[in-house]
Amino acid sequence: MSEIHAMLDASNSLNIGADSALLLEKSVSVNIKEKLNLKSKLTADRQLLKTIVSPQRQSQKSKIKLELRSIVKEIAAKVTSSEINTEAHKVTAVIATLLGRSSSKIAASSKETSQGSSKVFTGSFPAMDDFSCQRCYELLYDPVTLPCGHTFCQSCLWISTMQNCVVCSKPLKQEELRLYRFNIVLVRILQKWHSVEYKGRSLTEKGINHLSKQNFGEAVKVLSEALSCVPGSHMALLHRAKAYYFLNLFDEALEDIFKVCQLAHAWPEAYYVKGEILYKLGCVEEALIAYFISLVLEPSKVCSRNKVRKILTQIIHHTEEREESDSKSLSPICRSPTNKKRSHGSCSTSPPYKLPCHLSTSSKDVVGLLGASDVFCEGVGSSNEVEEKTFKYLPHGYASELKIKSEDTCEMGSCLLHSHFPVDISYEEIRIKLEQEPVIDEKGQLIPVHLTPELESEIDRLLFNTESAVTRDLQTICNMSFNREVAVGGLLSISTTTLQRNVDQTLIDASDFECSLCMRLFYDPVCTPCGHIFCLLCIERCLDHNAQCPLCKRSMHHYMANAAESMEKLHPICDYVTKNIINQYLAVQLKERQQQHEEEIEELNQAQPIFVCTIAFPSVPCPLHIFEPRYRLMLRRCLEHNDKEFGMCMPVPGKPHHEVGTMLKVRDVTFFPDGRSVVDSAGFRRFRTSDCRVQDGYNVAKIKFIVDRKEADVDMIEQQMTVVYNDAVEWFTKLPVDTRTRIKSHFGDFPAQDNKINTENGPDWLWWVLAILPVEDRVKATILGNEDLLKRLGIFRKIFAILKRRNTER
Amino acid sequence: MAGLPRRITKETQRLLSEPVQGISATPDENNLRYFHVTINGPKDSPFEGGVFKLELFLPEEYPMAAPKVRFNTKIYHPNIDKIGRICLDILKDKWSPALQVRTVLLSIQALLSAPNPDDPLANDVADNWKRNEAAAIKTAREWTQKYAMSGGQ
Repeated sequence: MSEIHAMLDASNSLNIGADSALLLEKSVSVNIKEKLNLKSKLTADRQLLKTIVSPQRQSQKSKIKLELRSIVKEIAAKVTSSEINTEAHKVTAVIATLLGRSSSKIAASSKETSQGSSKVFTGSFPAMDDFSCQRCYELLYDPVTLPCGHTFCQSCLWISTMQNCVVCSKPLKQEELRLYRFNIVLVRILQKWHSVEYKGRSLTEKGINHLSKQNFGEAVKVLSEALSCVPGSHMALLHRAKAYYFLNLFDEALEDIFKVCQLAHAWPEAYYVKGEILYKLGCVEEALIAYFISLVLEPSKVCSRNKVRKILTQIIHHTEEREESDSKSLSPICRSPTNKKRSHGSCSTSPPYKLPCHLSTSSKDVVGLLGASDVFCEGVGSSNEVEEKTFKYLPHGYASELKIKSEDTCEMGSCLLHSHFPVDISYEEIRIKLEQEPVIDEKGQLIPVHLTPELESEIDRLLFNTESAVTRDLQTICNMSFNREVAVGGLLSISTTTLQRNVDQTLIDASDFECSLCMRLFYDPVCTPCGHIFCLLCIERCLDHNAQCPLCKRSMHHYMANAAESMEKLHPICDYVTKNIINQYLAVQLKERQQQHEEEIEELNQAQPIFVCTIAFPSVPCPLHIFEPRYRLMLRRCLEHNDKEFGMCMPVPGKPHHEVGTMLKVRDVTFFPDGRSVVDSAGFRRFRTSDCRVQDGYNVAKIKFIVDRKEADVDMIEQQMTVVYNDAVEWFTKLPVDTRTRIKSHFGDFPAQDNKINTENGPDWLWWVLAILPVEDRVKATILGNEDLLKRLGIFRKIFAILKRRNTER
Repeated sequence: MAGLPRRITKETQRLLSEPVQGISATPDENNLRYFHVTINGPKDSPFEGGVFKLELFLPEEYPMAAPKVRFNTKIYHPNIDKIGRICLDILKDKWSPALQVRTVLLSIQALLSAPNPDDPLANDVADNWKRNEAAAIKTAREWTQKYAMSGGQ
């Protein structure tokens, strides 16, 4: 049975990511020899495959099984730790082959089920617009807006295992997830604009709750009520199917699940449930396919994987057993019990045969059943254990069904009850997967491409040439266009009807979208963790003063940390749903609001912001720590609208600030989660201010740039400059070492002598020297404001003379 | 600042178009940040029947900073002192930019209905209020009659 272990191990590591496909390709090219070997075997296999269509040829079937098993064995022998992933793919390919074969037989059998699904679903198809949750594709219910600005139903966030936002992939901080409250504005709008659907959603949630508490009857009742509100709700249908399943109303369950697969045909959960129901009805091949689709759509879906493994193991195990008792005659067992159950339904045309395992259901097998189920329930953890217990395949006869019930219910039940939420892979992931492996037929997808193209086309043919409903599902998925627009609807429905929800125009009221801070229409709305919406600029300004929500006083520390992060990435946060709704439904008001916004920005740009703090010089670095609320606001505005520039003036008693200052250019900013920031800036132009006033707490002024006078005698000035430069170097080198180190760490190294004359600011090194001179700032400001280079040099000479004298005196 | 912030304009419009019962607030002709306010003494309070004059000023930082409000009419109240200053948390540390002139005035009206002698501003009044509430209420009524009713000061 070692090949079974191999298969189990392999399916354990079953993983269908795009990169593993690449990996596989690599390994295939490396192991050409092995590949050829495998290929020839599979090709031979394919020959056999063709002869197998008739169920009478049991011996050949067994041969194929044997063949497959030997391949699996061979691969298993090669499974080294380093190659485990790619080898797993090969195994999966084999499984796919096996499946392809099963599918061929399903052709007839699934006619019955196709009847079920061919009934045109008449309910309205779900809409997909801004009001939809990107997770469950239903109308947002109890919407929660994440820091990245994307909104989901609260239940989608809480119950699912979403690690990243499915829209933007931003990692979710699980510990914060439960802190987020409903988006209050959205709740109000959803209730007002989509009252019936919202009620349906609330009933669906209630039904799901009943289901999880195992009140199946109540769940069916409530979910049916929900469906009367929203006939096309795939969530309500899926969960009603589950509830029916637990009530043993499989026909009803099947009907619901077919609708679900039609409505949301890329939903792994739906296929899993479909598999469960079909399995219960004894349609093992169809169940297997459904499980497989589910697995392909969501490779990490453990329950689907276990089911696939379980059924495959049954098949192989059975074959083995059959070999042992080769002489036994194979009396095809009719699934009459199952058919009886479904006779009034659409299943009457089921074929008289099933997989080999069904052909030899014996009482002995039934006796062994309970032990086997136990093993399966444990998830087939250790293969040794599996081997020790002589488990049997699970027969699907009527007799056994009664016995299985409790077991199966407990096993499947835990999956059914706890996997409420769908689509653990984002739409994007599916798209990438399908794009990269274009030939993917549902399961076959795995590798046939790389193994044998003929084999693949064979599988393809077998699967797609049948008219079974199940394969049609596959086809729909595969043929789905992955154009973004189409796909959003495509994932959900095959309908091409409009996906936009209708909104009663009389219900639209701009006052529902009024910011409580500026009392105007939201502009760049953001949602706080407590669910309140404000204009981005309004809330930013409030948070400069107080790290609390202005409406409910809840702490905004988490929000601010996220905001700091996005500020640095220059990717402002935004509540996209609210923003889109405003864009779409309040276009006129928004235009007016935008105009106001632009006017305000224009007004801000009328005067230069002045940071009153210290004296700065052209070309000299000026690091700043910004913590005062007013300067936080100023900095944000400068970064956004003022080319990252602002003026720096030193304070002067009795005046707003010194009239001479230097423009600073921000080179880098680090925002702290509490709103403070460290700014790395450097001076570049000198100015003189006029019309000083205060705006939103900080100083602004009109400025006039200071430009050096034109000098005629360049030679003389160059001479002077060299003298001053040498004086400066001499003075600097005599400073204590630690002083020099401190200066260098703050202002940079002593600059080289540049002879900039007749430029705006003259030589840069002169400003550097001025910055470090032990002279009063008042004096420095006078020099800064002087537009005569020669005079400036003269002052420097005097200063150095004084410094020299002082040194010698000491 | 160049013009009056739009929010102040909007609040003023709404105060005038949808006035609160028992409260009036009119902007000063010369300074649109300065409001002349009257609050009617609430029913079933010692201030019933009185019309209290207040002044309200919106500072430059409003709404980041709270409005400045003061009673111009003398009032016997544990949370309002001799010169009309008001002890109300939302005018100090509990201020939020989401509050408005309207909500501030409503809070002051509520303060008249429910004096809080445990957080006093006028200590003597608060002491009286705690020691002999009936007497304090009587005084408050007398003051209301004397200063806040027509014919009063």
